[in-house]
Amino acid sequence: MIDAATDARPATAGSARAGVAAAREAHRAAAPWPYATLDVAAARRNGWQPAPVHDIVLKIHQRCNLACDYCYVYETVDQSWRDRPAAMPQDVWEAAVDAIGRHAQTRGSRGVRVILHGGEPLLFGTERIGALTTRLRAAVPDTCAVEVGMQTNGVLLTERRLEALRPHGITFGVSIDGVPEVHDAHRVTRSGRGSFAAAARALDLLRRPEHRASYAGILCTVSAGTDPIACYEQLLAFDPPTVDLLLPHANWQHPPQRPHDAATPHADWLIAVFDRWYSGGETRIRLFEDVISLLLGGGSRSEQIGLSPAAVVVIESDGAIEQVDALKSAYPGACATGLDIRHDELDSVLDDPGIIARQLGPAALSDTCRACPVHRVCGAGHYAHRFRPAEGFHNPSVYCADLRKLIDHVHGRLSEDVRRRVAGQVTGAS
Amino acid sequence: MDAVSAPTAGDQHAWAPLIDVSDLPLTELLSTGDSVLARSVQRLVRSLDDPDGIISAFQSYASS
Repeated sequence: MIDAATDARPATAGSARAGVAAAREAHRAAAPWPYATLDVAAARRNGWQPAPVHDIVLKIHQRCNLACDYCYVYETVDQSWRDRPAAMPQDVWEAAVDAIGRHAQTRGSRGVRVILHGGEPLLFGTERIGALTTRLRAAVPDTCAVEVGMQTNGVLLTERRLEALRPHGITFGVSIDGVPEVHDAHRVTRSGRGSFAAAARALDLLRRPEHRASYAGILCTVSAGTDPIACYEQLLAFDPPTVDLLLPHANWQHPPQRPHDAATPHADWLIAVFDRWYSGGETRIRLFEDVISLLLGGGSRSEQIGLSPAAVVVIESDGAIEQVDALKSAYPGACATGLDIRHDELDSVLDDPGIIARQLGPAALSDTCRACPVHRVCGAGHYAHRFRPAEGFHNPSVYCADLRKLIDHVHGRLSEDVRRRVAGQVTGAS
Repeated sequence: MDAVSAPTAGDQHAWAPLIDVSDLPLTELLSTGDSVLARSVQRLVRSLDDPDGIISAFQSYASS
C-alpha cells in the first residue's frame, strides 16, 4: 500500500530545495553580503552555535485597516503582500502551530513567544484567533512557557474583543506615535483620517485594572523634528508597562528624513526623552534599557542595538517562512528563505545566510564598525538599516552618527550617576 | 546622500565602552530604590541566570 503522505514527501522536499535555491540566487544579486561572501563554513568552524528560534511571528492577516505612510509592509520596496492570502488559511495556521509544538518538543525549549501580527491581526477575527491560540497551547508541551502577543493599531480593540480574547492569555502591544497631531500625520485610515482617537480608546481600555494583565506596552516610531517631551508625556498618560521607541526604517539607498538638515535629529530627539526618562523612570523604555545594559556589560534584548543573536522567524499568510519583515524596506524578496511551514521545520532557517548573519555577533560587522570603540554597544544598529544596494548588509547603520551620539550621551549620564553614588558612599551621604 | 549620517570610523579617542562600577558595591547599586540605574543592575543580575541566554527579540512588538 502506498502511504500518500509519505509518497508526497520527496516531491515536496524537492520543491522546497528548489525554493531555497531560487531565493538564495535572488539574494546573491541583491545582497552579496551575506549571501555570496559570508563564509558560513568558517563561521561554523570558528564555533558559531545557532540560537534556536524563540520568537515566531505569525502574519495572520496580510491587510490593514490603516494606511500609515511609513509602513514597511506596504509603503516600501517589497510588495509581496499583494500576492499572499489576505487571511492566513486554516491549513497554514494549523501547520504553523503544529510546527511550533514540534519545535518546542524536540528542542526542549523552556519558552517560546508567538506574536500575532499583520497587517492588522485583529482583522483575522476573534473566533479564529481564539481557535489558533487554543491549538497552539495544546501543541506545546507543558514544560515550555508560551507567551502569545499581538501588535495592533488598536482601532478594532474593543471591550467585547478584549473580553472574548482574555481566556486565551494574549497580551497586546499598541502602536501610537505620541501626540494626536504627530500620530495623525502618519497613521491614517484609507480615507486619510487620523487614528489617534481610536488608538487612545484602546489604550484606555487596556489601562483598566480588569485588562491590565493583557497590556504589553506601546510602540512609538520616532518623529524627528517634533517635540520629544510632549510625545513622551503623551505616552505616559497611557500608563504603559513598557515602551519602545523605534527609528523609522531606512537604509543607505533610502536614508531617513532629517528635518532642517540637522546632523543627528533622531539622536537629539531620543536624548531629550532619555534625560526626562532617566530622571523620572516612570516606565520601561526598551531601547534605553538595552543601551544601559550593554554599557554595564550585559546584553540587548531587541533588534535596534547590540549584538545579541536574533532568534526570530516570520510565517507569512501563505506559509512562507521568512526573515524579519523589516527587511522588506531593503529590496523585493529580502525576507525570503524559500522555506514553507507546511513542509519545513522552523529551525530549517538556521541554514540561511541571512539568519546566520544575525547570530554571528561582531563577526558580522563591517571593518568600519569593528574599528569603532562602541561597536559592542551599537552592534551596527538594526540589520535592515545597514543595507546598501549591490553590497548588502555589511555596512554601518545609516543611523550611525545618531546611534553614536545617543550611546555617548547615555554613557556620560550613567557615568556621572555612578560617580555621584561613589562620592556619596565615600562621604556617607545617602 | 548628504542627509545620511556619516560613519564615525576611525574615532579612536579613548573611550571606555563599559561603565566602571568597580568602586561601588553591588548592594549599593541595587539599593538605589526604583531608579533607572537600580532597575538596570537588577536586570543584569537576572540575566545571569537566564538559561536560554540573551537573545534579540522581535522589534515590532512591544515587550520588555
